[in-house]
Amino acid sequence: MTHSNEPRFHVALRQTLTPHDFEAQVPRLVRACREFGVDEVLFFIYDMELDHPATGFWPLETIAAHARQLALAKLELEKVGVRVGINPFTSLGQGDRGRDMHRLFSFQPLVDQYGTPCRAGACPLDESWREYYREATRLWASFHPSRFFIDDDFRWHNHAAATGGGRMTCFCPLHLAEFERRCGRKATREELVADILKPGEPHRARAQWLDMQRDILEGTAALIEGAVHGASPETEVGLMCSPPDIHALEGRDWTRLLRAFAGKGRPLLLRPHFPAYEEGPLRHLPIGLLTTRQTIAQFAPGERITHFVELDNCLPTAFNRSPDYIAFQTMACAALGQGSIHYSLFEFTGNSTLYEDCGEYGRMLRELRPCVDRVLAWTDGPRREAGIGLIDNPGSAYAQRLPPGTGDYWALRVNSHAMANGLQLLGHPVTFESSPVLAPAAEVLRTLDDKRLRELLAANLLLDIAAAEVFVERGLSEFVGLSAIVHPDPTRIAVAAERITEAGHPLDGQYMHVRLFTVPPDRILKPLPGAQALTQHVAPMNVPVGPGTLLFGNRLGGRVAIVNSQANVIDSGVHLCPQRQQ
Amino acid sequence: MGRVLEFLFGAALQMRVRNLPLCLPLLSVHAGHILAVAGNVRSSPGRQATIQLRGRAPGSQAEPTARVEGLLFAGGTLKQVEVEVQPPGPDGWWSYIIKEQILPLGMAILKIESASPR
Repeated sequence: MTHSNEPRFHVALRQTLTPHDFEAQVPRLVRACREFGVDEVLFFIYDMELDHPATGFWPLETIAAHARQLALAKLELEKVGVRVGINPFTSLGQGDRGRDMHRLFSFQPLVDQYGTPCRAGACPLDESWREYYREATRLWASFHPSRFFIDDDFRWHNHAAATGGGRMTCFCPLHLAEFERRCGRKATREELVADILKPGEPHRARAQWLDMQRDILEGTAALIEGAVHGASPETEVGLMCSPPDIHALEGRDWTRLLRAFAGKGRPLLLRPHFPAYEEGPLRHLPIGLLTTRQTIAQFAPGERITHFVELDNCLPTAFNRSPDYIAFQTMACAALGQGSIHYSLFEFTGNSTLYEDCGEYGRMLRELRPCVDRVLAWTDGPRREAGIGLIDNPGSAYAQRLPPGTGDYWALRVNSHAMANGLQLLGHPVTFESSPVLAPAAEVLRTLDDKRLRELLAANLLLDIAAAEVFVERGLSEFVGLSAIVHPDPTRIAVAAERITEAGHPLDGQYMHVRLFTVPPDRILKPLPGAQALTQHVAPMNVPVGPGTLLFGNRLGGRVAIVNSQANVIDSGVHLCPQRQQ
Repeated sequence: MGRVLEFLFGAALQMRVRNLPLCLPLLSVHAGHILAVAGNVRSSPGRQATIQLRGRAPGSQAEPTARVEGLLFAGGTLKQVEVEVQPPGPDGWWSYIIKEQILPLGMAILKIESASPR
């Protein structure tokens, strides 16, 4: 797969200019851009509520007045060579957080699967919201921003309602009516939810629902695109986003949605997420970057697309993330050929000392520029990632077979990463691009049909125990070198360690931990003749229990390795050790 | 896991990092070179950290060579770093030994010229 961005560091700073004390904030921002080497500012329309009622959506006259202020600020920034775009924080709504749109608007609220309505989340099927948002978008675009980024609340999930709920929307009356219009079936919310979450083989209502939800967002994206380009034809329109595994819950077709935002014939624009928002354990960095890489991999080779990787120091102050942490993230992006970065580094309140308080971020940006440019020069041109391949399934929610008793929509979610962090921490690169070796996650495998599973078996597979079980459950155990996976009585099994038993291995006879605080191995592999055990799980008194790691070559030409551990254990300090590396 | 992955990759291009517990490894194949990255996500330095490569890239069939340039990033600075190359033995692994410490939140970035069979 090949994607290319600008072959130089492009710093896009997301920054709020609050309506209060506006004139004083502009020169401070201009000075900061000059001193820190900022290429583009993205006006973040975030803290309007410091100056306006907490309604989540603002009156059009308020937006018009602020857009006029921003137009003046844009002129000042352009004088020092800085491009200016815009990122309104709200389209459908980011969560109630004490806001109540009904103080000003009568929009149909987003409603979750349990019937809980949001107070500051609007359903995009509501014509009054569509009229409002079309005009709001036109006003924001009236100062001709370079880029117009819709924030990541343009989604059906995570619209936290003040009273709890809002995780997955929208099941409002307008949605039920639209479902009836499209599918010819009148259903209550409860009936529809029950069908969507029916255990076992998915009910056809689920695919109909997902198709409808996808189409509604694509249609709304086209509405926004038309409004932006009606006011400012030169503006690029794009989207911020959540991780792909979560967007699969709403049936997202990434290319179609981004095309709807971009407009016909224009390149696509996306801000892939690079979690986390706060500085956490360093060992979480590889899996965070993998979310970014998975997002970029959603697009076909050759697609014209600009990625601005999101490095969000949220909420931004020096107490949240250190410059070295952000610099490391930036350099990792550069090594992947991604030099266009969206930074949120400085607080959004308009305080007079916000740039001085976080001056270390400015110094970081200045110092990074030659470093990033030098590495980008090594990534210019076509490139392919290599490593252990991971697979995901953007259509997973269509195919997920739910177990009995599942009542929550989020049970449809899959995790594509499985062993990925453990592998990376051991020093093995992974990729969502094509690879001769795949380490598919069990949750993804469960959403694939038998034909696809057989195709995978002709490749080279690294499976954790959960992934191996999927093949056994589907009657394909002979292809992974197993006659069975036994679930012993958990009160009678106590695996003490894993012992290397491969003849001739320099570490033959050494032990590796398998348990501490995590769940110990609770499955026993029963290998077929021809399968080679490299390690053995042993019980107390060194009694063999069963293979820990198994290699097998199947008659489809595929090679399979099974590691008898759960993915979350493989990512833990219990599993990772020098012996595992070898 | 190393033995397991050798079995699975066979003759295909494979990378692993040694002497850097808790690592962010990245590998990409470009026209004429291979980019191999080892980032340190542990709060102690990596000493004598080694990036190892073996096999050929699917498609281009590019394979590693002894010609390498190394960069070391840490704390906002990037500098050239000496890289000791050990050619492959019977196991087929090229070893690229980073001759300076990789600091926490630092990374070594190697540009390894690749050769394609004629």
